[in-house]
Formats: sequence, structure tokens, C-alpha cells
Amino acid sequence: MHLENLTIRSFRCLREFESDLPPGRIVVVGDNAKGKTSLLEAVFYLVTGRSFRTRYDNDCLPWSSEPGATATIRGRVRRASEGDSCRLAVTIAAGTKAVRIDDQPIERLGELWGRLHAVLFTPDDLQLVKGGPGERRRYLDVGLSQISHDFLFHLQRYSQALRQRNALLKQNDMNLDDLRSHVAPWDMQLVEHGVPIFQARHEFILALEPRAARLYDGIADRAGDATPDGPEALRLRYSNFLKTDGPIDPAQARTLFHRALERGLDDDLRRGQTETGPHRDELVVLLGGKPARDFASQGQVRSCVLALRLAEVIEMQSRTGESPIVLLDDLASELDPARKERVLSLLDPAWQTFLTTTRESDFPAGSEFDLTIRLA
Amino acid sequence: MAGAFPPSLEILVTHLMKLPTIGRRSAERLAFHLLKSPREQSVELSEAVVRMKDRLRRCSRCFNITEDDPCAICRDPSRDSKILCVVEDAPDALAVESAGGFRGRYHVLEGCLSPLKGVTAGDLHIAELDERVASEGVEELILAMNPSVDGEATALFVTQRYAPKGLRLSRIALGLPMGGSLEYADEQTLQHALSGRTPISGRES
Ligand SMILES: [Zn+2]
Repeated sequence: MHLENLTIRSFRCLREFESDLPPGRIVVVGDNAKGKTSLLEAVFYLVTGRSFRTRYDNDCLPWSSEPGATATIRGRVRRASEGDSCRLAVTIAAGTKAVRIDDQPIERLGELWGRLHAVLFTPDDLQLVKGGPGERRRYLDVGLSQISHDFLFHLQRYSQALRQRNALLKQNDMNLDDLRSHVAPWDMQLVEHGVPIFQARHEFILALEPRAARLYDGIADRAGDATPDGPEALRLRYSNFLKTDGPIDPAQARTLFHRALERGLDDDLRRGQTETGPHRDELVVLLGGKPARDFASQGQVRSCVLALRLAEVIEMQSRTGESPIVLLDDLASELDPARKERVLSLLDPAWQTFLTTTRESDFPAGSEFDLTIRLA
Repeated sequence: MAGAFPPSLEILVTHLMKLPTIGRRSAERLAFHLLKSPREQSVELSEAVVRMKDRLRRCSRCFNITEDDPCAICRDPSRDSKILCVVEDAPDALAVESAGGFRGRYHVLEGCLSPLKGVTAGDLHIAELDERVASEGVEELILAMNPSVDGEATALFVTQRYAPKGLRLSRIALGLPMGGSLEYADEQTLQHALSGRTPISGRES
């Protein structure tokens, strides 16, 4: 799928932007603070209804704006399946945000998810490998939520039930019997929604691993010793709350999870929070058998992150028949020339890919772009 | 902007804006509509609001809203006292009732479990439900809570409380639009849900 058209008004430093967009490669050129990242941020608003830079929508209003000013982002999405398109719009005013699909306002952001698929790479993305487990859970969940409404549904219900259960654990005016009977309904829902999350993540990781490994070999240029057990081979492990190596029977998973919650109740009460469940899962990235988080060099981490992001693009495409749009912020400054060239060669020219840069010359001579957007 | 309105109009607009889904623009439109319509209409409207507030109370048996206590449904001898439809609040009971076809009685919990909001079973009419089950010969509970996480938890809580007592329990939120409140479900959906309710426990009916 791709964005056919993009309009941005009064969004951060982008006063007025409008352009038709081709399905292929788009380079966004501009000096710092001219709105390159803001343009990607605006596109990401159409994907998730949120910013990837801030939790506060108001941050996206131009700083000099009058009270009552409104930021607007509009885009028309064209799917690969013939004739299928939709119009997305996000408007942000002080303290409020509205999302429309084909001019119809939606009530929940969840209704937006899945309309436009995207995978994003930013310079901060090194956190995907170096940061805490939450970064890598988010990597899995954002990808899965875009392509599966079921997954998004289970994820939302799970987190609601988890917050309720944790609130209950902090209540200290209940006797233990009363507390057990109050905890049980939330446990049942954690199990009902947690097991599908576990299954989906597990299958996703199994599908991502060979793709990410191949991409990593390509980016790091280790064609010579590209064996699965080579010194720098990329592997993925799903370290999960059920402590299994592979997907297991859902009924068995439910029993195991239920038992773990019941057994953990005393501990949970002491700590005032739920200690077991998919909200504690970890995607372990291994390089040559060692955790990349602890041992990888800066260059290896960059290659790893790009391999993971592009693997996600390919996996989402293979599951839905639609390639997500690819947003690569400041890729050029992140990589040495050789890696940069190899990454570009790994990008399918049919993907709609937004690449931001300060200088066009950052890309190898002969790089072909279907559109150049200059921000001044 | 607000200063341009005569005080009495501004006061009305301010009050209308306190209503759900009414913003400033809608409030102004309603106020101007009332201004243009005959005086009796405004009198009748204001009297209707006050009358409703004065007359409605909770039924002391089922906690549904009613003008007479106990409510018409609780007093109606033709209603099957063995079947109780348990709902979160009055609009849900009205939705099930107007769908038609249900011949039992209701029990309104006046809320659903939510530890985040500090709501536990003690804040709902669970103790009163215990009493009714013990004294009214109730054999079946139809759980018509909303299909939200909290509604689901409330239904599960009620299930685990009464299943061991041998009551027949069923859930009818299934098939309702996801995330939608029972209040907004259309009648056909509700009737379908009522006839296709899934037993959770107890003897087959
Ligand atoms: Zn009554």
C-alpha cells in the first residue's frame, strides 16, 4: 500500500505542505529544524493516531500558534488490491484530537490501526537493541497490531485487565478470601487475552528470525561466513512468561498461565503489581550467540536494528499482501558509506519509502528517487 | 466570545454544555431553538425535567428506576420470579425489556467492578442479589453486562459466586457489537442475544 497524497497544515514547523506521492522511493531533503522528521511524524499520525516523538499531541502545534489553532494531517491511502482506497485525517487542537476515516469521525484510535501500515526507523532506534525489554515488546506489538485487529483487541483488553488487577493488589482493606474472589475475574481475563498475545508473538518471532538474519548478513556484509552459527550470526529468542522454546497448545498455555498467576499472588500482593505475564516478555537479540544488548558494537547495533525493521516490513507484507510504507529518518548520517549502499540495495523499489537527509549527496551517486521533496 | 450573550441566554448555554456530547456550538443551537419556540414548550421541558427528578427512584427490590416502589415488573405476578436478568444499570434493563421476549425479572447492580475507580463488590448490589437468590426461589441468572473488560469481570465475579449454589447461569453479551454498550445495541441484536444465550454453568434448560 502507499500514500497517494499528503497534506499537512500547521504541524510543528510545517506550515503548509501538500504533495502527490509516488509508490516508490521518496527523499526528503532539508536543513536541520526544517521539518524532515516532522513530516515522518505526521505520516505516523495517520498510521497510529499518535506521535512517535512525544506523548503530548499539543507538542505538535506550532509553538507560535494562536490559541485555537489547529494542526491538520490528511492522506489518501491506496491499497495494492485494485480500487481500494481510503482517506485519513487527523486534526489536533489544544487539548483535543479528532481522527476521521473517509470523513467519518471515529471513537477509538483502534479503528484507525490497520488502515495504513508503516515501519519506522529513527536515529533513536538504537534503543530497540540497547534499551529495555519494553522497546522490543513494542517492536513486536506495533507490527502485529497493524496487521491483526484480533491482536490489537487482545492487547488492549489485556492491558486494561492488568491495570485493574494491579489496582486491586494495592488495595489493603480487604481480607484474603475477599481479595481472592475479586482477583479471580481479572486473572481469567489476563489468561483469555494473554495467551493469544503469547501465541502471536511467538509465531511472529519465528517468522522474523530467518528474515532478520539474512538482512543482517546483507547489511553487515558477512556473506563470507554467513552460517547460522557463525561468529556474528543474528538469532532471535522469545524469552516468555511460560518459559517455552516454541509455541504450545493454547489450552496448555492457559492452564500454565492460570497456575502461575495463582502461585504468584502472594508475591504480587507484596509488590503491589502483577509479576507474571506477557507484559514481562522479552525478545532477546543474539549476535554470535551473545546478547546484542550487552555485547554489540555501535555498528553492529545499527545493522541489527535495520535488519529487525526491514524484516518486519517483509513479514507484514507476506502476511497481508500489502507492503507497509517505510519511514527511514536520517539513515544517511547513521551508517558508513558501504553499509548505506547495502541497505539501499535491500530496499525493494516497490515499497513506498521515505528517506530524510540533510544532503542529497549523502546517498551514493546513481541512487534513484521517484520524488524529491525539498523543505526550506 | 461568551460576553456577547445576554446573561440569561449564557446561563442556559452553560447548563446545556454540562450534558454529555453537547459542546458550545450545539448548546447555542439548542438555546436559540428554545428561544424561537413557544413559551409553553420551555415550561413543559423544565417541568418534565423536574418531575422526572422528583418522581424517579430506585426499586427497593431490583434497583431499576421506577416511580412506584416496588417497580411494575417486580409487582407483576405474571413475571417469572425464577429467572433474573442481571444488568449493570437501568438503561441496560430498559434495553433488554424493550427488546421484548424476556419474561423474568431484573436485578440492577448500579455499576460494575473497577478497582481503578475503587468499585468492589461491596459497592454493587451483590448482597441484595444474595438475598433475592436465597428468598425468591431464583433458579437462573442471565448475565447481561456490557462486553467491556469491566463488564466481563463483573459477569465472571457473579458466575463464580452463584455457580457453586447450583444456579443456571448464562451470558448474553456475546454477539453484541464489540465495545458497544448494551444501551446502544439494536433490538434485533438483543433479541438474538437473549435467545442464543450461552450457558456458563448449571443444568441444561
Ligand atoms: Zn423492581
